[in-house]
Amino acid sequence: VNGTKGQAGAREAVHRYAAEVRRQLGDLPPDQVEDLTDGLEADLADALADGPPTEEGAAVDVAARFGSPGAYARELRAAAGIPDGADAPAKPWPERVQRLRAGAARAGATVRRQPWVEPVASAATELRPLWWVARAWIGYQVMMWLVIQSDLLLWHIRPERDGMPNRALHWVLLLGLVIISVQWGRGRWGAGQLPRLSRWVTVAALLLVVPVGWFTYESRFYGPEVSDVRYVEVPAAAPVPEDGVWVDGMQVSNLFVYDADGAPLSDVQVYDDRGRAVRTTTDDGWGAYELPGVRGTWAFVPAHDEDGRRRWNVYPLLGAPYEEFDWNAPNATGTVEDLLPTEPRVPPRPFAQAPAVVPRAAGEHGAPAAADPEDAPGAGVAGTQDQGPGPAPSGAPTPGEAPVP
Amino acid sequence: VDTTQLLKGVLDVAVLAVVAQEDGYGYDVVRRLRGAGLTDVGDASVYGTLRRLYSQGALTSYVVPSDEGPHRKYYGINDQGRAMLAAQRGDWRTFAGTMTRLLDEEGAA
Repeated sequence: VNGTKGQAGAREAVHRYAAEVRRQLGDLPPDQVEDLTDGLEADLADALADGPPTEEGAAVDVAARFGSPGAYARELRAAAGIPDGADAPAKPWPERVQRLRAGAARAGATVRRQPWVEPVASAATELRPLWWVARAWIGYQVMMWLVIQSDLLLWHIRPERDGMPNRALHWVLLLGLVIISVQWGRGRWGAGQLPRLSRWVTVAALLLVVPVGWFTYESRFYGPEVSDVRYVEVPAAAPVPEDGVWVDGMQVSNLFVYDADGAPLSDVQVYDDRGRAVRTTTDDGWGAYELPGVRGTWAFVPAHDEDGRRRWNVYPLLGAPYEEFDWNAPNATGTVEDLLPTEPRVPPRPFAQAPAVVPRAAGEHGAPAAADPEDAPGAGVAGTQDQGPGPAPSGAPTPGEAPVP
Repeated sequence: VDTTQLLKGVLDVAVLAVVAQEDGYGYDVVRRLRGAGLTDVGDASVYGTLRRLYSQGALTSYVVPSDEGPHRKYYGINDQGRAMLAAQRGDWRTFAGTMTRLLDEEGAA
């Protein structure tokens, strides 16, 4: 059993050595490499079998017997009368390129003399299998990208962008690419016949690292390209309306109230049907407001009730042009009304007089006309006041108790 | 005398002579050269020489599949190879005779 295992190990080592020799001849055309190294495995194996028998279980060191693959390739090439690639380039480069190459070669030689190069290079060689796997993953991502971009086979492959295979098919694809990449790296599956294959694949993979990295990084913005989950659109909750009073989609800063005759009223308290104060402003007077047709801006101050509480629902809000306020007053107590040295005024009204409301014709509704005098004592005095039951028809209405929201 | 340097000049004729005796594959030729006393001959040098002689038209080549392991590439000599061998054999005899005489005279003097 040990013998066959040893033989398999020897075959493996010979394979690797031959692949390396072919790689060293990589600058030659493939058919020439093929011609030079055809039957190389058989020759190496025979030579090994002819040599001193290796110890049982010891790893077969082909390089110890034949020298380094590079030296072997050079000897092979020299004996076959093929000039060394470095000596005679197939096509002379332009002088500038030659100077550049010479400089690079000098720099390379300098670097190679450094003491750390040897361990780093050997570590890099050891890590080559890792690169083969990475190379396969890059290929896998490129494949996903191509499928996404071309829409080809989209439903069969169902690509993912994030680089993690999560379907059996994706795993199969990735594993297949890994196997191919590793075999090429080891000089199998056509790499022997095409010595530059692995190197070209490496160059292509290195060039694709940046776009693939970007594509993968970008994938966090995307959901799956194709998903079994369907998204159903549901109406989003309506935005919570802002505070304030709105007319025609426009926030208003002040309200002007006119009585039935069309005369402007002042100090009118406004509440909604739940008894909450209707406020046009919520900034406690610190804001500046544009008034229609007025140059500059105004600021408003609140009214105060009997208890000294500030009331912002008393209309029209009184105020003054913004610059009349002494915003930098040193003794400011924190309320706007303290900053206004003058008495607050009624801002310009939209009109001095509103159209009067036509009183309901007496004949239209027989009953109210007859009932009015009893129900609303003030109605008779006002004459033109509205017919409904209610408080005093004119002047400032003063409801006794205003619920505070 | 550096024998590897001497070997370089005569490897062609040595390989031709070995293959002329009997067809052989790469390592077979190496083994027979070493058996004949050219122990320092390098594997790759012999393989390269075989390839070069083949591409010069002095050798024929054919592949023999192997029962176990990889196939073997055999080389045989053809007429052109035989002519080349005959010419180089003559060259060698002349050269060797000259050298022998030179060295013998020097030793005798």
